[in-house]
This record gives sequence, C-alpha cells and structure tokens, in this order.
Amino acid sequence: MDRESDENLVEEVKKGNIGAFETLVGRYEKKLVWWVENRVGSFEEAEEIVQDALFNIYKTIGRVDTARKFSTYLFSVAKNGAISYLRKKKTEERLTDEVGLADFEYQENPEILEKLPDKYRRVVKMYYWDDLSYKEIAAKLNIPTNTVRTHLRRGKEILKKIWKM
Amino acid sequence: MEDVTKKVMDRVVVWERMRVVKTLTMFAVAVAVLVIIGSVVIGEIRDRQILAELSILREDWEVIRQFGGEIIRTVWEELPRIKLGVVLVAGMVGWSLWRRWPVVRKKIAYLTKYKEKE
Repeated sequence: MDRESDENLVEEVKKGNIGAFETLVGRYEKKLVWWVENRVGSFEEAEEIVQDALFNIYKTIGRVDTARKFSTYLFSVAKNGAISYLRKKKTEERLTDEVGLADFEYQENPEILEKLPDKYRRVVKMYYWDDLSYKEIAAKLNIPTNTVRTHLRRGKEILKKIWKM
Repeated sequence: MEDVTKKVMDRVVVWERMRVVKTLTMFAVAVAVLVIIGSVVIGEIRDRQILAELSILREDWEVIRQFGGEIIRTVWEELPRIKLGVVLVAGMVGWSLWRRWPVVRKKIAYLTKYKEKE
C-alpha cells in the first residue's frame, strides 16, 4: 500500500479502508508539521494544527476530488488551519493590548463577553473576532461609523470593569 | 513525531467506532421494524382477506374493465396504509444500509485490528 498513489489511497479510504488513511497520514505528517511550524513558529501548535487538519480531511474524505492532487488539498487545509490559528492569536493579543487587561483570558472565560449588552457585544465581536473595520461594521449593522466607534469604546470600558471586579 | 499519526488515528478510530455503532443500530432497528410491523401488516391483510378482492383479475376482460377500478379503490382503502408506509420506509433504510455493508465490514475489520494492536 506504501507505493500506491495518494489518489488511489483516498479512493480506498472512501471504500472503508481506514488503514489507507493511516498510510496517507504517515506519508505527510513530517512535511506538514515542518511546513506549519515554519508559519506559526511553534512545534506543539503545529502538531495540533496538523492533527486537526488531518482529522477534518478524514471526516470529509467523501468530498475530496481525486481528479485533483491530494497533496495540494492537504496543504491548503493545513494552511487554513495555520491562518485561523494566527488570526486567533492576533485577536487575542490585540484585545489584550487594547483593553489593557494583561491577564485577560477570554478563552478560559468566554462568558465574559456574554455579560456585555447586546449592542456592544456584537460590535466588539465583529471588530476583534471577525477583523472587520469600523466602516464594514457600520455597513453591516446599518449604523453610523461614529456609533460603531462609541459602542466599541463603551464595550471595552465595560469589559475592563467586569474584568477588574 | 510518530505521535501525530497515532493521535490522528486515535481520533479517527473513536469517530469511526461511533459511526459504525450508529449504522449497525439503525440497521437493527430498521430490520426489527420491518419484521414486526411487516408481520402485523401481513396478518391484517390475511385476516381481513383484503387481497381476495383481487381475484377479479382472473375474470374476463369485460368484467375487469367494468369493476376493476372500483375493486382497486376498495383494496387501497382497506389496506393498513400507515403501517405499510412505515414498513416501506424501514425497508428503504435497511436496504440503503445493507448496500453500505462492504464499507462497514472493512471498517469493523480495521477497528478490531486497531484495538488488538493497542
């Protein structure tokens, strides 16, 4: 099975041969982890990202088009994983810096955002989580840009208070 | 580094085990429904001699033409349609799962091998 092409192995996995997937994973794990590590700068995170990417590929193997090169698909899924990780990390850093809460651990305390009034929460989420600009948020919510700015400022103030409590 | 393959395969195995159990349970339920409700339907059809009406099909063409429509309507109304529908759905579900059996069998073989390896 080791000499089989990637595409044949994918077909085998689709037919229920889980072992073929093990071969595929073994074939690419090192390259993938190395490639992701170069982008995210952490071996442990790279391993996590690669694991998630490979598991997600397995779950959606039925939709993989074997007419296209499998390795390209594999690396694009890993790339997306790396991008989401970097985006999440950037958001965390930005939120920590801007809110001025050095110990703000929103991942462990996601409920903290739920304490914000709805109108502030959605603006904070759109700005920090979805990376939207003031203008984009204003267009989406159909409110003036200045209101977005005000909601964001008030939201951050409330977050500070909640966190200090 | 070999950990990545192992960890991925561990997750795959847990996920597949759940799917296989779900498939087998659904198949068992479909077969049980098919057998139980199916035998009830057959019993009702026999007891009420619903299909006896269809003996008209052995008659002359003229008779069939004259009374055929009415007889078919009567048979249709007499049939336990809801139960028959349930049997039909269970049959379709069972059939579609049965067609996937070669795939499921391969998965079971791998899962067993994986468990023994551990």
